[in-house]
Amino acid sequence: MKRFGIRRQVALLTLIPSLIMVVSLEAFFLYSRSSDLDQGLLERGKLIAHQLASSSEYGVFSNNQAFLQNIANGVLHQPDVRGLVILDSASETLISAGKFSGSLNNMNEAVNLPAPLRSSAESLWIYQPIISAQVALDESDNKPDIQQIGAVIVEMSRLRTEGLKTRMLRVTVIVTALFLVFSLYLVSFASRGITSPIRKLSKAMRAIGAGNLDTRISLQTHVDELDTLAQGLNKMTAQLQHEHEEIRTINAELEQRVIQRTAQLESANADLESFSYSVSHDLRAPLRAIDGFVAILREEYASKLDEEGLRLFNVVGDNARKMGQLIDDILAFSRASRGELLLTRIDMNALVRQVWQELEPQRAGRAIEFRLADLPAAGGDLAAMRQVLQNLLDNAIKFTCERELAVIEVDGHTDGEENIYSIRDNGAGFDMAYIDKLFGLFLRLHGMDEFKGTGVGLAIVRRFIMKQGGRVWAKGKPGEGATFWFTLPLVDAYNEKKELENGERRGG
Amino acid sequence: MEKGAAVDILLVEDNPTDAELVMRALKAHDLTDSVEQVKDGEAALDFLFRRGDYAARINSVPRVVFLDLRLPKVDGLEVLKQMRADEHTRLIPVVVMTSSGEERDIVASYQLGANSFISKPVAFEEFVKTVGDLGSYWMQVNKVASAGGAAG
Repeated sequence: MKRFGIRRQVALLTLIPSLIMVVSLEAFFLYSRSSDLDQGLLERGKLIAHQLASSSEYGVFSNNQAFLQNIANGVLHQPDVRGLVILDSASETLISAGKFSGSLNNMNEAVNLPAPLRSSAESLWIYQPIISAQVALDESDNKPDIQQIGAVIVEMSRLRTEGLKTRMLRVTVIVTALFLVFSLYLVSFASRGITSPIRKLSKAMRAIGAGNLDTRISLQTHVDELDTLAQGLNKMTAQLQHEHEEIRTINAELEQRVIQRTAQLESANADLESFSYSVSHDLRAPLRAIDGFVAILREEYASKLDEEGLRLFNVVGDNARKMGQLIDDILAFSRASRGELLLTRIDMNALVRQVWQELEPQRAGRAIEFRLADLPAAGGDLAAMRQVLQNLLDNAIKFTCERELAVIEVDGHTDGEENIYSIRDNGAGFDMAYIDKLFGLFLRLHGMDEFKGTGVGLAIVRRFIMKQGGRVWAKGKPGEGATFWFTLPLVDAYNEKKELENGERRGG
Repeated sequence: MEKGAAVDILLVEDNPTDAELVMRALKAHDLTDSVEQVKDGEAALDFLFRRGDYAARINSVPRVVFLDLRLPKVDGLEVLKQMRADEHTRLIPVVVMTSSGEERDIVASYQLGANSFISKPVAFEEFVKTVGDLGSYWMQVNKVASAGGAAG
């Protein structure tokens, strides 16, 4: 369906009904006016014929042709009379005047014919019988003896009335055309008063929609509703612009703040990095010196030391080495916190087997039953997960050292939303009362002389798992073993995330 | 006038105790005969390029350089860079010996053409073994291209 603009629709709706009305009124006027003219012509013709018949009675009766010709010539002067004939009782032409045309049949028509004898496009023939005066005297008689002594036929020309009709039609057509032009002009003028504001409004709406909030509408219109609409739109746009500005200001502030914070964070990070660099570099050298010189002392001055003296030097060396380990662990933890992760698909079965293999030195001389279930693949950072598994399995090996047969089980399943892995051992376990200290940095649940360690391993585990979007928890019982669980995202979830990021990157 | 004997090992180490421990470790492996120790990067470059205090040194390059990274004046990576940029010193094996095991140090060292990267252990026993192994390897096992000879 074709869509018209509002202007054309208004014009059509306004013009069509009035045009129909005007045309039908004019048609009616034209019709009645031309009927009037025709009727008038007929009436006049009848009157002329009647008068002629009366006045020519004597002439016909006396067959005085000169007299009749005189009368006929007089009648010819009357307007619209084109010609006439006077007939005697035998329908013979007595007198013919003017440009009479047409045949002379059917003389014996009834008296006082209401209709013309004949009618053509150019003429109207009116027949009037000539009746003798004696008959006219005998009016009281019920059945008067009508004696027709002749007839007149008057031919009335339609030329003048038809001309009048044509002129009338022409004037009507011109008036209609003028009316049409004038109404078109009026409608277009009036509709411009409505449609042009509406068009302005719609144009402004488009501009606002496109984000040009500076747009304002000013309508020169006399239509209240449109003015209200324009004012409302202006108000809304102003409000929108104001809020937009506000949001932009807030955004700019936020961005500024983010930049500041990022700079602060970056500088803090740089400080931290140089700090850990210093730690790794400068703190170890003195320890190396302590251990080294104690060792030299023990070797070169052994003869001058008693057993207690040697033991004390051993203690110094042990502690220097322990401190070295502590520094290494702190640095490992700091790296776990700082480093960015690279998420990939991880074959957990292969990774666990590999890590288990690498822990062979720790397992030396031990009887361990290692049970590895079929683990689902996960989405995560390979290096981080290697560290996590290393720490958890190392712990399991360490805390089962007092068991004759240690049992370490690695299990895993998916619940549709994430993968859940567990590492269970039958080792020393722990008291659930201290569960909140289990994953804390430098927090240990066992004495230094029971199990070696700095209390960093599980803190690193938790940090890495959390960074990969997982959770970690544990259950244990003193003397019965411990189980550690951690979750990782599904490989699919990881893929989705990656696609999302790619999409964002493409979009941005 | 050239003076001094040819040097086999150039030890660039600012920490005297570390230096002493290295010397002891080398001594345990009888490798201390021709070791020269310098205490900063500038001295190392002076020695290698026979400038300043070493302007009159005999024209020979060491068979291996043990290079610490954290050094006063000119740091170890800069020393390495300048060595690799000069054709006289470009082929001298350089073993980076440092306290840290930071990944970025390792990467930077190898990128600048280090031949080996050693993180000095805290435990003395391990330290002696590591340094001894290094000395034996570079002095006795490894074959060196005679770039210094060609240059001289």
